[in-house]
Amino acid sequence: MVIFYLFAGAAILSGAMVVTAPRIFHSALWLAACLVSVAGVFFYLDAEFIGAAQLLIYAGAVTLLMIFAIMFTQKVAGWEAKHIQRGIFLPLLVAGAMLGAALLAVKDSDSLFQRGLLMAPPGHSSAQIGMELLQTYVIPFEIASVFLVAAMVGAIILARRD
Amino acid sequence: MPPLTHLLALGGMLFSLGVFGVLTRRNAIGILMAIELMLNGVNINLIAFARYVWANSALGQVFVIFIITVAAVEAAVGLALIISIFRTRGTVNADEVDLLKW
Repeated sequence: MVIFYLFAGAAILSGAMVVTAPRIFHSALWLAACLVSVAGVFFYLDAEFIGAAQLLIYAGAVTLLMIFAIMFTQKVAGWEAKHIQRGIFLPLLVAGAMLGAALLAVKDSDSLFQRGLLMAPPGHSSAQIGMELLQTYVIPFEIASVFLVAAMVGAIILARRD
Repeated sequence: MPPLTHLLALGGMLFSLGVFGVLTRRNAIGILMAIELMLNGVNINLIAFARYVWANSALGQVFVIFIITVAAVEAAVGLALIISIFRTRGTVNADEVDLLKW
């Protein structure tokens, strides 16, 4: 229980640092911290396969890609912080309104369980994910692999120096 | 276990932080990072429902796997586009790339 709130607090704090850090490189490092905390939440919720995928794909590969792209596109001397603050008030209003609406919507979601929704028993689910991914959802799975190949070829062509 | 509401609130908070980042960042890579934050908020919601609601299926987690796949694709193609824009225009500032803006 305490562990969950530790991970949740770390995720929110580092997420806030991602969007407010003045230097884009620091923001990428905070993003890695945030993704690792979210992976901790996944492990806590018995979703060990998703947690491992989150660590490998998000915290590993995507963050690394971000850091590579930052190093490609920043002039080495250009560390000045001119990439934030184009009017803070309106974004704050929009994000705050969305947060308020979301909190209002989920406020009493626990009462669903008193009205007949069944609570799932605890237990690990990797085997079931594998079965369903290769039986019920095999066509989306194959489409996703074709999608990955297309994206890889497209990314190579886009980023190639002609 | 924490109440379901707290998990959904965590997802909502990460999503709102992502929205805030998309609206305030000027660096295109910063905008991509904020989008990753939004996708993570959505994933937390899906995993929370998959864990709490008895459904005799792992559909919630399968859905998250597809979201992670699409997010990785989005990061790869987006960063390739950003690098290509940097080559031709010398900037990744979203305010200065406004050729299609009327």
